[in-house]
Amino acid sequence: MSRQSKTHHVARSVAKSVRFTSRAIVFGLSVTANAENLDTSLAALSCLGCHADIEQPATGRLAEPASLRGLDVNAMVSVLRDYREGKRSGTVMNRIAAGLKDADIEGIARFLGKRQ
Amino acid sequence: MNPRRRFLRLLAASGLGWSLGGCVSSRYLRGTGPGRVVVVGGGFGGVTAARYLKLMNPALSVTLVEPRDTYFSCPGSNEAIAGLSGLGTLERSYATVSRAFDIKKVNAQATHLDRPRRRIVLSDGSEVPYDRLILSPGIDFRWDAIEGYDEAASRTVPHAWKAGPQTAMLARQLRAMPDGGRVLITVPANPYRCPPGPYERASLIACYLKKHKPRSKVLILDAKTRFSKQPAFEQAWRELYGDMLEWISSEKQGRLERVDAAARSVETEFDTFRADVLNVIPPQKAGALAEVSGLTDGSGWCPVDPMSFASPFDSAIHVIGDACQAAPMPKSAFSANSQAKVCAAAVIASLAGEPPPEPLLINHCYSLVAPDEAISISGVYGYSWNDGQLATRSAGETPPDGDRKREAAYARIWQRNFRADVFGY
Repeated sequence: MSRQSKTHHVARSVAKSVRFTSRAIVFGLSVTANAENLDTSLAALSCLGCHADIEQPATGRLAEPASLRGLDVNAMVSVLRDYREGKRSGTVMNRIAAGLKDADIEGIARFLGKRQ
Repeated sequence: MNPRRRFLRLLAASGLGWSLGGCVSSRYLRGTGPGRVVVVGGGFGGVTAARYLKLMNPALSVTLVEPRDTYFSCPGSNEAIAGLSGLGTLERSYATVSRAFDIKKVNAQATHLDRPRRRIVLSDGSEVPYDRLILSPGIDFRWDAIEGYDEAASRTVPHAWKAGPQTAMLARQLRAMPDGGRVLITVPANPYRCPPGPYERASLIACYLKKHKPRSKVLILDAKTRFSKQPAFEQAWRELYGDMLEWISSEKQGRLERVDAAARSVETEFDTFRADVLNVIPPQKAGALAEVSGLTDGSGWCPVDPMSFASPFDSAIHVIGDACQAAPMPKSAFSANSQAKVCAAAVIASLAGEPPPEPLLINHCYSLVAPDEAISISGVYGYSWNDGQLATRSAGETPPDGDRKREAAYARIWQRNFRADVFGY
């Protein structure tokens, strides 16, 4: 079993005990713990204040367009850098990204990216 | 070894390491040792803290002490006042959160703390013990700050600064007001809950009046000389409401001297203003429980170490949300939500005898200036090792020529997503 799928397996078994919720968060925490990057995982948790990554139990729909599910980690890193450097324009994300260091961006992308 | 390294090493050794791949008995996810965490206060800060404690460590015993059965969100309440939505959309049930996330709910008012014995004393005299206490008591009003405006006066002249019946009262009074009438909103000096809130309220009331009572006016009597998102608000007001909406700085009128609730009038140093609908937003302080428990300082708010939101007066108690002093973060629902996550991680570390991870916090908030137009302000805050305080990493707001329609679409999604992040649905 690969490292990632092992971790995913851990996350899934834990998540079964938490109804309605968020594999994503548990998975993210386990990844960041392994990645020695809990500092940036705290930043990523704040991201979820807008990009709530929660399966809507009533409808089964994901919140959008703010859901970050399924995004590639590298793509997320380059999008956040582009926001920070003004190469991509948004309403809010330029201001937020301006406060993130490279390590923050990488940690956030690892935490939030590449989930099912 | 610096505290951050030590915490990371703890995590690495906690059973989540690659070598232990399939093991779920990690300290971080499962917890060992004492773990009774009690959260007092079921607002955005408290519920986020309770839910994230369980997400981070499902084995932890988490109790929420909150007397009400449901919560009314302040974000979105100005829309209810202006008739754009019903109060129902603002309501969340604690029973649902409690069931879904295995959080024990105690339906009682916490009256005081027995700090030496680490117990919360409830209104019926019973006690709830804790190993760590997260206090999220929100605000209380300084009923002694404005002559003539006390709790009794607020039963006819609403503050509507805690959502629920007060919101409904202000909405009713607005409906009953005659065309050609005047709505007067008084705004306190900083710091107070939701810095841009009064100006969003004025905007949406003006929008309601423009449509239903077009000869009426909205007046904002401010204890400040400038305010949050001011350039973008003023630009929107010029474009949308013209003379209908007027902001009066304290430079022009000085102090708010007294309120006459029966006459619906207020006196400043220079004038008397009569209103058809009067909304007094009084000066504020940390929730009463924080004050009676000796967790506030001379300012009336609770100082905290922003690394963990622990109180300098008691290391077993953390204070989050509007009640704490976390400048330069504003007192907002989003700040409370962000602080709650940092605090939950710090509490879990602390129960394991480890220092907290270094925080990075975010605030973001939208204000609607019309049903389909919004402006926003955002900030990112890091920990400063120099002075042990939070430092602004970045801050910004909608420029006067910003895309207000697009931000309004995002604001709607934000409201739904944010409540889901806090309450889980």
